[in-house]
Amino acid sequence: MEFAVPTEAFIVLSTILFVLGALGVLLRKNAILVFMSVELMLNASNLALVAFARQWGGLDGHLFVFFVMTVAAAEVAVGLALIVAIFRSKNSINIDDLHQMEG
Amino acid sequence: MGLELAFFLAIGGLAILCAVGMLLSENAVHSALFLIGNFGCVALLFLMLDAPFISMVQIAVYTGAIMVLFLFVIMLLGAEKTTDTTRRFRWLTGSATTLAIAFLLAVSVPLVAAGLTLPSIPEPAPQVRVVHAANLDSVNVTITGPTLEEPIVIANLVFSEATDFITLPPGDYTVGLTLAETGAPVMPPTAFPVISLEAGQVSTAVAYGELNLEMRSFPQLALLPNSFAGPSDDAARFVTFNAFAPQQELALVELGGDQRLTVVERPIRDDEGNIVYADEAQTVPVTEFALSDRVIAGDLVYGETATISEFPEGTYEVAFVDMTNLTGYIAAADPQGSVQEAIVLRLPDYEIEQATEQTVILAAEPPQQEGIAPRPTVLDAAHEYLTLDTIAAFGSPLAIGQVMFTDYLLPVNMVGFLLLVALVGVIVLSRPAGITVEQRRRSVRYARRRVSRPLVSVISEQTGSDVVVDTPRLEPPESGD
Repeated sequence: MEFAVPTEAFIVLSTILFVLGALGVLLRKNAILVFMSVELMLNASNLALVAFARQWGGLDGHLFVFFVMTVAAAEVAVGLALIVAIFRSKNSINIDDLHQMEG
Repeated sequence: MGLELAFFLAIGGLAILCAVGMLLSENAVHSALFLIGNFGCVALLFLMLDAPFISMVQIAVYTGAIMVLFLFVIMLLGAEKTTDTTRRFRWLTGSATTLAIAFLLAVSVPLVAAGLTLPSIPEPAPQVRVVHAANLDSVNVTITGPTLEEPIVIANLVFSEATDFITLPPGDYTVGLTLAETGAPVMPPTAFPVISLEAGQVSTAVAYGELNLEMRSFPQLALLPNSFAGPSDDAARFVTFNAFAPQQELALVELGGDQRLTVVERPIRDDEGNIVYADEAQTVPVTEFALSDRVIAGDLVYGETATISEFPEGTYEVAFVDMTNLTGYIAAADPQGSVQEAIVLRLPDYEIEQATEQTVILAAEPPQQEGIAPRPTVLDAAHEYLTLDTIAAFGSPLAIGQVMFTDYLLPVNMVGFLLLVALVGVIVLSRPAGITVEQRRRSVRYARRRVSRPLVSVISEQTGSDVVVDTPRLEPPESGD
């Protein structure tokens, strides 16, 4: 069946958002900004999943998005707790300063 | 350009702008707000994709919980002003941007320009089931068609029995009925009914009528339309068919209180809206009697197509009512009393469940002896197998729940466990990093003695803090005993 907005359009939009998120991860120095770019990438993949779920008429895409959202929520909670703990000891969240583990 | 496409371009463009704003903003709080805008746009896109549940979960969980947590932490750490002064590698910005644009072009250009056509799901094959409602004993049903290698034979179908749904390829099929005992055909072979099935069609083939050789009347086949799509909320869909020959026009109604037939008296009005009077003296208005609006299915003409209607769920007392002489019945009965003669069959305690489709067929029981008037009966009066459980709409919370708690039960439990682990991890990570010597001294002084005194003194020696333990000392034991 033909959709008014084809699935390819949603995939292209999802790719653009994913690329913007990847750029944010690579180029920003604030750890929280990096985290938010990761969330943007996860959102782009959610968009692609739901677009394909509509294309194939199955609800598996929606279920996958549900699990991705839940895992993202858990990841954000743990990651922000880590950032707060790091900030306590180093008083900075500039990722250029967090290089204790380099050998 | 359609309205939907324009809407998509507007919302998609806004999402991209919000993402770019998030990347380029100096203030981390502004970046978080731009990301909230982006998530809102993505939620609107989910609505365009027939995913209402996911879009509401996106707004509630992503923007309402995750981004609020981000804002909490940004405010807590005072990290609004981001310091991007130091840059380790000068070539990072240019190379990252180039690689990102290259990836984007590599994915989207072939997708758009090559004219890829994603195959769409075909319509499901038609399904049909056969119900025996004719005035005969058990029959054999034979289905033949050009697409079938050998005919499908359903043996010994008893009266009021229905088969399961049979999936067949689309096409025309000939249905032949023969008596199970003798094998004699019930109708002339040239007059075997032909049913045509199209893709995506779900139907019930009802064999109704009686075999009367003198009157040259034969049983016939009717195709009732069924559907797996759900009815409106808190209602059930009714597919009602009249296969009871003596009553030419019936209605299925809900009886009022005290098992009374609730009728509505309406004066007949002409075109201008004036009430019409019977005699020239214009003293007695002509009234029309109709049943109240608790009609489950009306216009049930014998042998005509089924009536499809919806009715809210509940347990009612329903009845089939003869509509042909309703006015006569009402006139003959006591105006205050109930119209018992019009009721053909009464069904007490009829249960109607929501989100189901009920196929109700009124037929004549095969006569046990000659000469007895046919008795009406509803096939499957306990509606076990003529009731369909409908499937909820695509993307609705009900449909997602149906899939989640059957096929995906294990992943749901695993994700719940993951959330529990994350919760414990966050609590552990948020504890104070280390306690100072002063705090340890205070805590040891005020703590009840959980460690034995010699151990406490050993610990205090090793950590170098003074320990004052004010507990009573035991007298040393007398030597010798």
